[in-house]
Amino acid sequence: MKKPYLLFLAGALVASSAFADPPLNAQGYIDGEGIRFDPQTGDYIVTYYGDSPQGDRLITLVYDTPNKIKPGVRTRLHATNGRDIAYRYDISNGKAARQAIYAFSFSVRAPWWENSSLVTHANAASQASAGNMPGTAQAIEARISYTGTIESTRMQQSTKWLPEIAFAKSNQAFRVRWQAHPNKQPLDDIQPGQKRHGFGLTMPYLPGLIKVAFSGDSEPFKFAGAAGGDSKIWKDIDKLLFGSTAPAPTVQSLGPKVLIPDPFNAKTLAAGIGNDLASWVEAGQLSEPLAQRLGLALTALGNAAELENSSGVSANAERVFYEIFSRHDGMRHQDGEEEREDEAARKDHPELSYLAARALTFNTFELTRRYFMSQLPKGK
Amino acid sequence: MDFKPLITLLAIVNPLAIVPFFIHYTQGFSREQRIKTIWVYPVRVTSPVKAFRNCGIFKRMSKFKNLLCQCLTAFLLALSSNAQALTQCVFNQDLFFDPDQFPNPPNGYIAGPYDNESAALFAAKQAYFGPSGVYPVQTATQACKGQFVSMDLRLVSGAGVRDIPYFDSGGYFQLDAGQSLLVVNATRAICEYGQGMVGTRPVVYAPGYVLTCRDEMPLSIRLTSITEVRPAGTGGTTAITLTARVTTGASPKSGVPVGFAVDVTPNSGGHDHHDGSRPKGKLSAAQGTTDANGEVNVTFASPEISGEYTIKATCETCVNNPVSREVKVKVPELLNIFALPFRDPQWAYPGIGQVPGRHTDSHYLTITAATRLLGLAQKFNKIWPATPKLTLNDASLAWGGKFDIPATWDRNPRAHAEHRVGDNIDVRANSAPGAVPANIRKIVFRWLRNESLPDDNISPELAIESVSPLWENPGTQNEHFHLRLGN
Repeated sequence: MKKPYLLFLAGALVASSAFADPPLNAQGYIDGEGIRFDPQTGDYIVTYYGDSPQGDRLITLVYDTPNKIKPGVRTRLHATNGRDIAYRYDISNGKAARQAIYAFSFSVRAPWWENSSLVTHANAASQASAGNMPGTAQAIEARISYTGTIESTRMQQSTKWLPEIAFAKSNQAFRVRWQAHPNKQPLDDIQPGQKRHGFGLTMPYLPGLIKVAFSGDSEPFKFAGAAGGDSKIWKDIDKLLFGSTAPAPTVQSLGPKVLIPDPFNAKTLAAGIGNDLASWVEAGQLSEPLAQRLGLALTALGNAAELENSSGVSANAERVFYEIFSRHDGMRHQDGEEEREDEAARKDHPELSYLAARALTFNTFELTRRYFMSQLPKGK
Repeated sequence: MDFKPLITLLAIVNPLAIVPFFIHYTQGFSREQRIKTIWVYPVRVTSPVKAFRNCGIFKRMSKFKNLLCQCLTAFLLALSSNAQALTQCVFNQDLFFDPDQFPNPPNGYIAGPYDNESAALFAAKQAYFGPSGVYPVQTATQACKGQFVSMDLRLVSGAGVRDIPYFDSGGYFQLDAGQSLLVVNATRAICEYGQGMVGTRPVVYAPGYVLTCRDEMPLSIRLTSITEVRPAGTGGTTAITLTARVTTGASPKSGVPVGFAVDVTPNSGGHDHHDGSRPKGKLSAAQGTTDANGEVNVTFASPEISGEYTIKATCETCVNNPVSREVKVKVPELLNIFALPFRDPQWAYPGIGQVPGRHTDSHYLTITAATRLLGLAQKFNKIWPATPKLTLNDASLAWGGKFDIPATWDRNPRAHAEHRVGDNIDVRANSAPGAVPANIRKIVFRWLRNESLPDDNISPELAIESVSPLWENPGTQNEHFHLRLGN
């Protein structure tokens, strides 16, 4: 009687051990697991215990990180005749890059303005409007049509590059992205040493600092079998593929940040410009003391504008310009402000970066210009 | 089913019809109880009936008819109320067993509380005089042990306070509500070896053992809790507290033992398979005792497997024993994408992945994920208009939770590890019809990798979610893209 019982126990033990993962070590890994950076190739060597056609075992795969690129951004700003500001970006990929750039994006913490538009002139002039966006939809049918409206309008008109806007559901942030159209052969990826011109958008926002993130064309990471789980190695793999372990290269640039009020209100706009300075300090582009002085000048400018004290507006605008020009001699605003081609010419001041100075110059000029325009007698 | 109205009607139409009902309802009563029922309850309810009569309800009846109906109605009401209210006798202390004679309490003795006074008195007599006839007789001395010569009991409160001489005649004492019975004195035999009983001595029971009888409603139990909880491993609340409350009438009853058990409904939660090894979650305790509020709590920790679970509470002394509570272990508000426009082949072909006997309903997503998937499918079709539509494989089960592909509940923890909360779906990317073709598979994956997902949880870095796809099982018949759609 005992033998069958013992056999059953032994069988159960073998079966259970066959399905159980090996024990974890002090680091929370199964022995042999880990993620190792290879400085020679820039790849990550990933070893995990997981599913494969041969059963559970240690599997080693190479992750070709999509960050072997040398991105550059050249920004142009242009005030349109109306309320909008046109932003144009030229994208380059350095010769030392080992991958092509196939997508880039930036995120903005600001409400999306429904009448904004995206443009892509990389290969052919095109424009995709994201207009006619309905407000908050409650029912799923409405949400689906909401999505459909945006997608259809912006995708119909793209050519070699696809522009895209993604909104936070709260509509308090949006992400703008362009990618080489995946079904236009040959793909218009930006190869090492190449440039593409004319990506842009038009929005009723004054510029602020943004970070443009780029994606390199890498070999996809393919799991041998099923993926996922709660173990430390799986969390680390997730972080590697989609998180902070191998972050996408970013470039600081200018993008739409400060909503221009409609109808125009100089005090509101001055406050918006001043509030955005805090993010410049966070980004290390502006010193705290200078930010405070600029903030006071902008507040005073706004107050003077509210009182229709034009000389006060001018005086405070001069205070702002003085702070800028005393640090970046030779910077002058022109209609159609354009970043210099010569990257080496960009010299950052410890208190105010060149990029921040450009944005502040543009914003202060636009604020005062629009104020004085609003003071002109109507109909003349 | 409540037959009282029918009985009442029958009694009015044909008064003799009450006889079989009387026999039925007093089944199990002793002769004395039946007599008491006949005499006491009609009197108890005469007053309200009189009141009805004076209000004119019976005024049109003849005097004889009036009297007859009064009696019958009262009698019926008495019968029905007798089924609800019982005299409950409890000792205010545990019954005492003389350790000289009974080192161990007699087998089968229960300290109470008792369902009725006769049961309580019987227990009292057993306690003082030993269980009847269960002691082995080996010697005369041993036979002598435990014999009580006499015992006096006294009613110490309530109407008709008087001494009651004990006599072991097989009858019982009549105790009315509000009366208490005090053991005043008892005399126990003194035995000598081989001599039998040679004398007696009084036994003093201090501070006295009081048996109090009062009218009480029968005990009843109720089990309450929220009725839905998320499966373990899906975030949020995965455990709930159930409260069993024992009451007598409206009053809580403390000290009542309550047992707990959990079971699961076969094939619930989207699992078409069932066996004895199916996880049932965990209860924090298998039993407990009600506190001063009449309550005892137990915590149910949900398993990873969704489904319908039944928690049962047992209370042996309760009239409604046992009671149960159904708890749904599920991820709420998942939508079957069959019900969405995905059904329209214009966008995508859903519906592969069903395995009869395991899981045949496995295409559920949250509304957010479903909306995003629709957006993705639409984009895909516009970018690749000449390519077959996306063929959608498993998402989540109807109620979410662990998606055990091999139908073994806990094996293979990696396969479908993320298909639990309706924010993931697989897209076919193998050599089967409808799959993403091999020649564009890499570029489609690259496109998906950068696809944005709008999100309310905007981080300081303004990181709006992306699809974050995984490429699984390359080169096999199970090759697919695993899409994370977010919530």
